[in-house]
Amino acid sequence: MDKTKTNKKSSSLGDFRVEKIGIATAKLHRILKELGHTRGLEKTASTMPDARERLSFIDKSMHESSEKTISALEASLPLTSRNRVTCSELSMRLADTKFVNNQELVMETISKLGEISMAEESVHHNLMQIMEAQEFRDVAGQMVNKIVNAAVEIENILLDILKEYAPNTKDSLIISEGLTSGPAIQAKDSVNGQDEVDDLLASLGL
Amino acid sequence: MADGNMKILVVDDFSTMRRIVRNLLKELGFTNVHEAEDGVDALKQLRSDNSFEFVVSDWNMPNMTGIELLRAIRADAALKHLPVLMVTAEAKRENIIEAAQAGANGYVVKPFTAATLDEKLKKIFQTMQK
Repeated sequence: MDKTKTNKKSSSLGDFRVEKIGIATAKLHRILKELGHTRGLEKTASTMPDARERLSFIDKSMHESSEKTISALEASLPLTSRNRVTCSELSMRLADTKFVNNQELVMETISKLGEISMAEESVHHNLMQIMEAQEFRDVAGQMVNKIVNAAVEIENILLDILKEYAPNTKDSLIISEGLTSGPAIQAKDSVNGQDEVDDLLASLGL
Repeated sequence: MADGNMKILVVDDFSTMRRIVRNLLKELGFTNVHEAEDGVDALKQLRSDNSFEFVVSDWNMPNMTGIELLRAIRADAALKHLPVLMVTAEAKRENIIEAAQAGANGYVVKPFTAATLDEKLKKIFQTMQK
């Protein structure tokens, strides 16, 4: 594969695109000036902080809800484990004791204790699934942050144009926040799931 | 099988994620779990207390990323033997290759389950015993 050739090609293609964007921007500037469309732009720019606020609200709500869920799970998981131990201890003691009366009731109790124990195991398993599902918070949170970043950028671009054509626009609209970059979801060179990660690692000898 | 009392450091900038990983590890029988919020914090803890036996690290963190932490661990004579499992949302091939080349012992992509974590930990312990 000839890398230099490909690079050259993409770079000249890049220049061409930059030129096109430049022409389009100049055109946009002229039209804005001629038609006095800064009002519309101002309106668009002013919706950005609102969009950011809403996204931040979603992020905050997701965080609070996840934390509450995990707290409830942490409180519940030991209970299911303890209940299972209690059930098996009790049924063993009942099985080892000789009852003169109510033998049928004792047998039924032992059987029910077994059923309760099995149900507790299912509950435990389900609670762990809820725990695992809280991971959405991490990836979704990073996605929201990425969109917030994009909104900030769009806002800045609009404000730059506005400052040039409508000097009265307030700078207070600009708030830049440092946000960490998010996961590369659906990027071209991304693997699809743990199996592909494992295949790739195996090919690397890990 | 590994000792349930094995001292593990979970590194993630995101407190919810640290909580989840801690709980999944607990479910797998590992109860001696400590937390660090980024690579800098992790390195500080690892260097001040050389009893850590395992590191589970996120990739994307402020101050010092997971890959930088991994490289720092491998470059430190006192720490370089530590097994490091990367647990991250970074699913790009170049990330996985970079981690493998930097000396990661395993790589798990988010979202993951306790079963995946169990499988990867067992694999690492098996390789270490060889």
